[in-house]
Amino acid sequence: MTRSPEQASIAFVVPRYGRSVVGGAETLCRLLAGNLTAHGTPVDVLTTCAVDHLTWANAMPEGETIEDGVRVRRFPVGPRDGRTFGLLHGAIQYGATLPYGDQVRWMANSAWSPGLLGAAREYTWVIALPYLFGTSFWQAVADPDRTVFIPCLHDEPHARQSVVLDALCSVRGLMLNAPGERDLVNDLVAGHRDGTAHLRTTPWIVGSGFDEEPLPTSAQVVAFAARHGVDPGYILYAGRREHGKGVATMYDHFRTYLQTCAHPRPLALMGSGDLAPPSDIADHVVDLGFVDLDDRAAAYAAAGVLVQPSRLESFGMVLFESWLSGTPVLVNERSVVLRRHCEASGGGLWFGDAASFAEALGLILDEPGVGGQLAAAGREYTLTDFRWDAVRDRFHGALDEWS
Amino acid sequence: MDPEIAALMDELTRRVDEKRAAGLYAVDDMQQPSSDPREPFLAEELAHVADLAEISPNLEGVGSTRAGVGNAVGKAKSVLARATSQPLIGVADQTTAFNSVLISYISQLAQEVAALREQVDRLSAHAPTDDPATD
Repeated sequence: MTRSPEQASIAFVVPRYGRSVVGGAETLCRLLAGNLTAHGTPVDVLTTCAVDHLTWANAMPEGETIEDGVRVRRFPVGPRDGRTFGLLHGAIQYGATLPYGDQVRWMANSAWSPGLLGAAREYTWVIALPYLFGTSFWQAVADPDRTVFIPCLHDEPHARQSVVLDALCSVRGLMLNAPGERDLVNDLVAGHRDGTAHLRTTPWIVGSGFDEEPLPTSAQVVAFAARHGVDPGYILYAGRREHGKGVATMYDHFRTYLQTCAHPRPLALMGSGDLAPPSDIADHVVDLGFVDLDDRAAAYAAAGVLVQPSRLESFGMVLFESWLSGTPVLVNERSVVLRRHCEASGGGLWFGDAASFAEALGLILDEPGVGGQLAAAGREYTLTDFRWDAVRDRFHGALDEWS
Repeated sequence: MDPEIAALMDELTRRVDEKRAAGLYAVDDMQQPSSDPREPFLAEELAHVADLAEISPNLEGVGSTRAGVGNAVGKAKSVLARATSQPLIGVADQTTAFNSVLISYISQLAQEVAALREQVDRLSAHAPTDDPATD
């Protein structure tokens, strides 16, 4: 789609891009860019040639492609010292207080691209995401007036660094994913620079969107479960299997559930990752592996509940996918974003320890009517607040207000 | 908050309290703390070391106790200290940065130790006990 002369030009800036790139912010960027372009607002994506978020090697060719209707411009990653970045990143993660200069050095060695920074100057609006990469940070430093952040903020030590908060306060506006993320931003900014810091404009909650899909049929659900050798009604985890996602904690809590429930359901894992279940619970865990997009709704619908143990979520895409398929959720109470979604929607419960995890599963899975009530409330929330047309309206409303 | 969710969370809390009182979740006591990331080995000592990592030279405490001229000497020392402090501040910043990186490294080791301890405890719990009758 081409841009009409009166339309503002918009570019999304993201460190990696493509269907094969896994990551919440990267997926959000792809969905937003694709949906806006398909509905009359053509946007470009400026990204690096990297695919691997650890090596940041320039794996893809530099230049321009059209991907799912969106113009994508790739630029080489600029010079950086990955070892210095790793040490400083780790130091922050474990609570070290770095001088401001070392915080800048941390960002200077994050993934960034001088070519991308130059190209961004061609656009009226530059929407950069997520906050924790040099591509976004240096865009904010170089050109704050035309930059909007979709920070995808997590409650983590990196978000409390002065350089990060200065960047958040310097850009033209913030598009946030959820009410919980707004609470987090307000808390962080209120504590910055002895309470004198403030955002330039009031943030908008934009998020990602969903289309109304019919619920999978019972025949599809039964067929999916049969193909994977598991009875419908299982406990589902969807996402990467790693410590950072709270998966080890989920395994521990699931053990307690097995020990305390008379007729426990199996735990099904959808996605990939190296964190395998401990041997003493492995017999009760089913590996669904990578599930194709076509089958994913059936995988959710065949579950009795989706568990999201991660604390570090800025949107919670899997909650909405689960609700759309008619499945309630159980989330980590320490994630303010996920908990606020459940409080607002009535679509799920939250756990704080192994006992509340086990009891919540019992309440949702075994108490007549509870699971269905939660699922219906979650689906209604998704289709009211996070329909694509509502998301697009908020996106344009934000830019209009900040113009 | 959605009132139906509030009612369900109340019911959840009631169930947990009731079963805890009945001793059902004593199994919690057998598990490692469920914090995420895992609690590092010797966490308190690590936190203490981290507290000491930031080096900031004190340029105010260079007074004098000499009778009569103490105040004047103290002020002169402070002026001199501030005037010559730039290299000291630079060294302090470098030291803080080094300490921070070092603590990061130690923290990662502490996490690894905690993970290994957990594995050892789990394997020990499932190891067969020695039974002389089977010898």
